[in-house]
Amino acid sequence: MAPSSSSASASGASGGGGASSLGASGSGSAPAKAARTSELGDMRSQLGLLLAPRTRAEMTTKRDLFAKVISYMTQGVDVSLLFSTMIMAASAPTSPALMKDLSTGDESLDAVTAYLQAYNAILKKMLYLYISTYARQHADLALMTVNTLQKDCQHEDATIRGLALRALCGLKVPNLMEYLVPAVAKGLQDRAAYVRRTAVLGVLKAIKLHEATAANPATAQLAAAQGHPHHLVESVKTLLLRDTDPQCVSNACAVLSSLEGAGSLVTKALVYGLINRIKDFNEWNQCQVLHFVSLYEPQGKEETFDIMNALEDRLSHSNSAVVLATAKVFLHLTLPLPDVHQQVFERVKGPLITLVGSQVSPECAFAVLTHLRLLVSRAPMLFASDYRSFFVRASDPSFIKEQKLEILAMLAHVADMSLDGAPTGSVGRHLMEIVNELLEYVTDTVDVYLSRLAIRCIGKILLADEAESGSEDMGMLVERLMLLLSDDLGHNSGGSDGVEPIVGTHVSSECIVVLRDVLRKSPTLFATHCRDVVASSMPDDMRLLPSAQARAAYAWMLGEFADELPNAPYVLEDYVVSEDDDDEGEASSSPMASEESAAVKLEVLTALAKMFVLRPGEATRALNAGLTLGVADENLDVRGRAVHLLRLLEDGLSPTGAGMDAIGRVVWGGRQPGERSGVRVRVSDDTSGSKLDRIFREFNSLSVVYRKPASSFVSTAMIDEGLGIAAGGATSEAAAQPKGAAEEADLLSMEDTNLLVLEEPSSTPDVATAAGDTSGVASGIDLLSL
Amino acid sequence: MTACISAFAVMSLRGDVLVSRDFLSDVPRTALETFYRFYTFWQQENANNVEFQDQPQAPPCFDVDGVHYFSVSKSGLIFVATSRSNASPSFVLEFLTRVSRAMADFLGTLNEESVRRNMVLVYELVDEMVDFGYPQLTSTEALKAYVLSQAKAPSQGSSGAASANGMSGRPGARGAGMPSGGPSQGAAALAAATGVSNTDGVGGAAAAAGGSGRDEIFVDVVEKISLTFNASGSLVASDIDGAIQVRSFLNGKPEIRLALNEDLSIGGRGGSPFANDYAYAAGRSPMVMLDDANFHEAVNLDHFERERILTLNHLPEGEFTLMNYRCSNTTMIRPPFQMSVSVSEASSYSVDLIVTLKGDFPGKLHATNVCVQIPVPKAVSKATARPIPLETIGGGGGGGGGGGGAMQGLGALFGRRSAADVAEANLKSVVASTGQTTDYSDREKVVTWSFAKLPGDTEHRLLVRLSLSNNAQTNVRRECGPVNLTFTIPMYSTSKLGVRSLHVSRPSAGLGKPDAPAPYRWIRYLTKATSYVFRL
Repeated sequence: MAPSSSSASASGASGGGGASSLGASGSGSAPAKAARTSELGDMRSQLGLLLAPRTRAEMTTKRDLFAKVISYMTQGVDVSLLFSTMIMAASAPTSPALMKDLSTGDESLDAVTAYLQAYNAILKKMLYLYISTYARQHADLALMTVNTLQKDCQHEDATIRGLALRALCGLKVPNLMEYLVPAVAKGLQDRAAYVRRTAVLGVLKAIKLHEATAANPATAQLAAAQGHPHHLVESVKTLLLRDTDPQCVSNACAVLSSLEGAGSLVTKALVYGLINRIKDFNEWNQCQVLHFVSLYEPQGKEETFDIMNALEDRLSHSNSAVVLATAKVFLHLTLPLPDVHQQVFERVKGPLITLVGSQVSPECAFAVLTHLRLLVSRAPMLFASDYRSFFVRASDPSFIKEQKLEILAMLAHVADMSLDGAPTGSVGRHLMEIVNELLEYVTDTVDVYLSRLAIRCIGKILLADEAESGSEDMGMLVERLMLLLSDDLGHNSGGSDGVEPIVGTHVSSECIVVLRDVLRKSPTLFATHCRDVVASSMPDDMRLLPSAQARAAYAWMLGEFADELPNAPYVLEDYVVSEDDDDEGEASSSPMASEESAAVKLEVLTALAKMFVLRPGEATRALNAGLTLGVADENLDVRGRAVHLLRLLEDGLSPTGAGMDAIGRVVWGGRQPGERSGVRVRVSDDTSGSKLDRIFREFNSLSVVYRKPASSFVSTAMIDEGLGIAAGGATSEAAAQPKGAAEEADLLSMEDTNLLVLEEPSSTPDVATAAGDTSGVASGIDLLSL
Repeated sequence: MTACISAFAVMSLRGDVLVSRDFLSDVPRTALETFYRFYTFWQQENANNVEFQDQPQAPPCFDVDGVHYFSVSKSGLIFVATSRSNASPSFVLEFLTRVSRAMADFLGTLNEESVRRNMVLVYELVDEMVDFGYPQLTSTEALKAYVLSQAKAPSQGSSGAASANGMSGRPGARGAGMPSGGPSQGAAALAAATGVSNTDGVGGAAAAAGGSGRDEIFVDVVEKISLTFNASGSLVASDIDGAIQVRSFLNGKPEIRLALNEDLSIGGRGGSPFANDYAYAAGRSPMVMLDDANFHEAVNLDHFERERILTLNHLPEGEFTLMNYRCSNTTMIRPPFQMSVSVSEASSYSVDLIVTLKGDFPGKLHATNVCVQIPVPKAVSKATARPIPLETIGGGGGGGGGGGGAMQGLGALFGRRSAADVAEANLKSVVASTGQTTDYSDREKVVTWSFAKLPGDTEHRLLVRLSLSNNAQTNVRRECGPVNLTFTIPMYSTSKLGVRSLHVSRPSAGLGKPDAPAPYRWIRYLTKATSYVFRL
């Protein structure tokens, strides 16, 4: 990612930038190359003439030439040809002629000196940028620069000392270590804070360089000869305790914590010292300090409150990083004190909601929202009166809308609290307001994605454990859903000019999927709310539905409720049997043969089997056609399901077989055929409690955004050593790794089932679900053998 | 929080890498290409990933092969950071935002061209702001001591475009560069300031003053409002996200005292467990109630609790946000616009909508760039819209000029209309709104009704005739909408938050020497709709 590494293609596209006559043509054709070489040659000779400029105008020309070289370099043009000239030009002393020229104006000598100082610093900066880019590729050239850099490290101007030291540390060339270490050691003692800051980080750079050198077999010997720069670390420790410059202290914290683990550093004296002067630090260093404090375990309630009182005003900071870091300290400190812990939630939520709306950038708001989502999932009650803050705004980007809808889904079942804290309104009023808001999103004509999300969100509300399927509210919600569905199915599109006809839009597509899941949970709702709508508005031709998900869900409904839907066998028959079959034996393709999605085929096969159990007479023809297609299907799962059903039927119906009832129990997943008993349906993203706890311990990190513990996405070496301590530190890194992997696998299997997971302990898995496939086959065989 | 940023880059929207700096060398060289591919084709790249289903847009942080990518989009540029550790997302994203702000402060205007033209300056900035993945100097005034290049003014053509962008986005175009900048930069800043004056009605004087000495300070109270009305016209959700933004060009290191409304209450209800509630004086019900507020780190709150005075002992340079606040109390807000739609059947194949829009803010002020978007049913084959001649209410709109002075707007701001005000408004001839246009896009099925300038206290009507392709008169009302309104009202704050006074005090120049003349202080207000929705 260094400027030089930006590939030719990337820089090629950047034409038009800069005022270069060369342009940035990365094409590299021979004439262009020749032209470039000659231009570089020109620049070199020009610079050579300007080594010691004599007038102000010459100074400007020289600076512009430097800038031009840098500009080429960032565009990916190789300007290493100018290496030695650049070094000479940047370190040439000021000529007497120039001093004379500058002094002719009416400026004071001080002004002239200041001007020269700034001018030289600019040249140096450009030179160092140049060197740091080419040093790693041309180690031989880097050696040339060391002399210059060493000299600059002794420069009278503190800025140049700092810059030179930074450049020297940034070279990353192993055999320069012997020059690097003394320079850093000297820098740590410098008068100027600017140099000390650079030197502190220089220690870390030196150590990393040493480690990299030692790890590489080719250079290991060199590293051994140079030795580990231990002594530097001791100086940094002294700085941490003694230095007056906050940036130095913060850098020292950073260096030490990344070297030996923050845990060993956190002492009461240090923590108190840092907290007391926290306002001297800038906002980023405050985050560093707060991170340290979150590692400290106070010796009792008193200390906890002392720390919290001292940090309390950090919560009204306008930087979300500071507020979240403070929140983390508070949440972790109060874990052992449940009542205070709850108060912390109350205290923290206001500032966080403000940050979501503040004007900095939607990206920062997103990071805050993910943390709010985590807090809401832990204590939805405490956010009961804040749900309006999570209503979507037209200007929100989609990643914000997603987070808000998830939070709304969690808040829907929380009882409303009045302002004084006493429950007044019923859950219903509160729920209705959220649902009405969601329904508005569904009909949003501009943002289709929001509309989809809103329907899924309604689905989550219906599927939540708190939702009692028999309640009035849920019945009403299902009715609203049915209304959406039947309205939307009225929209026809296509059907002419060769466009495939389609019934309904994304709305019906999502509604059908939600409906399937709801009915799986509480099938009794079908008779009370859905039967008429499904019977009257769902199309007879399954092909007309707008998406594969919808077709799969519809097929499931047809099988599950075959006894209540008079035309169910015929819809499926039309789908599996080709039209021409009726007249002649000519095999033209049926709709199912041209179906692309395996999920639909799987559902259709299972539905056919269910239907056969309930209405054998009407379903036989369709079942035959379906199984014939299925056995020949190219998809392994579909073939497996078809073969399984075929065996099941053959064996079951043979004179010695277990009979229709046994078949029924298999395809109905252990229930009596047509039995209306629901299964508990879990929405995949409310992850298991222990996992949530681990994510909570990693508050204010990417874990919250990804909803995974760090162990599942960061290699163990990278895991922040401090994160695990609140848990008592019992889980060793080694133990954490396989556990993380297992949980990941767990997550994957959930995804397979289209966001739904059937409750594990159910002894007879439902064959009807896609994920239950293999286990379903196994248990089916078990049942048969009985 | 081990080193969190492995590498930093600025990219254009087309994917060109403008600036890139590698600190830790622990991410692959192709990382930026990977980032751009996922950033641009998020949906396609995740087609088989159930976790992200059909997300249309990449989130601000995501993970590809163990490399974490953070990005912030600003001014047509993408600021990217990569990391391998489990960093704090808000830390990295806030930092990227801060880098973009610092660049804007130093470059005058932030866009692709200005970055390209000032490559050396930008690298200088980045090198000072972050070292080995750790943020270092970040405040503009601290950076000024170490960043030595001067910004090159943008070429003439793009300067105009830049200030045009600025004026639509924010009250003071972020244009104005550093006070220490060369004369060329001053000119660029000036150009930006003039660009603002034409729309603000307050910047004209500012621009004139800007040329000489530039001892001045701008305080902008900017409120973004999100209101939602239900079909019966009542407010169902409201949010005001306000900010006090400061741009200072003051000489020396003055102390600033900013007094807000005395009757301001923050978080008045639901006492906080840590005694942070700023109790308001007994016996007086607060007029401005904010839910919560946060402050820039330089703000001293010692005098805030009792006197509502914010003190800044050292004033950060460049542009910064002094205070953010939030107000979502529906009862406290007087919405600046009301709207109603009536539907009547004209014939069996056509339906008329009459849209009434009422500006409910003081007649002295005016809203600019007002745009009403009315989605119509999919079944509509043709739509025509024409404004019904203006009727005035309450004596008609006052003068279009929004109060030339800086402090002058306060009276109007609080909506205290005295009898004299009304009489004055009556005397003035009715100033019609300007730049009224209507448009219909058949592809998107949206009727657009816009005004360049719309005075307060006026009512406007629009007749929309919809021709339906079939006479299936499905509920037209239900399939219309929601109507979205965007507008900007200069010199108006919806929350009624106001700056009572602004004192700049400098250490005395010494015995016998005259004190420097009082600097120019500009206090401006702006209300901007981010989401102003009427449901039908």
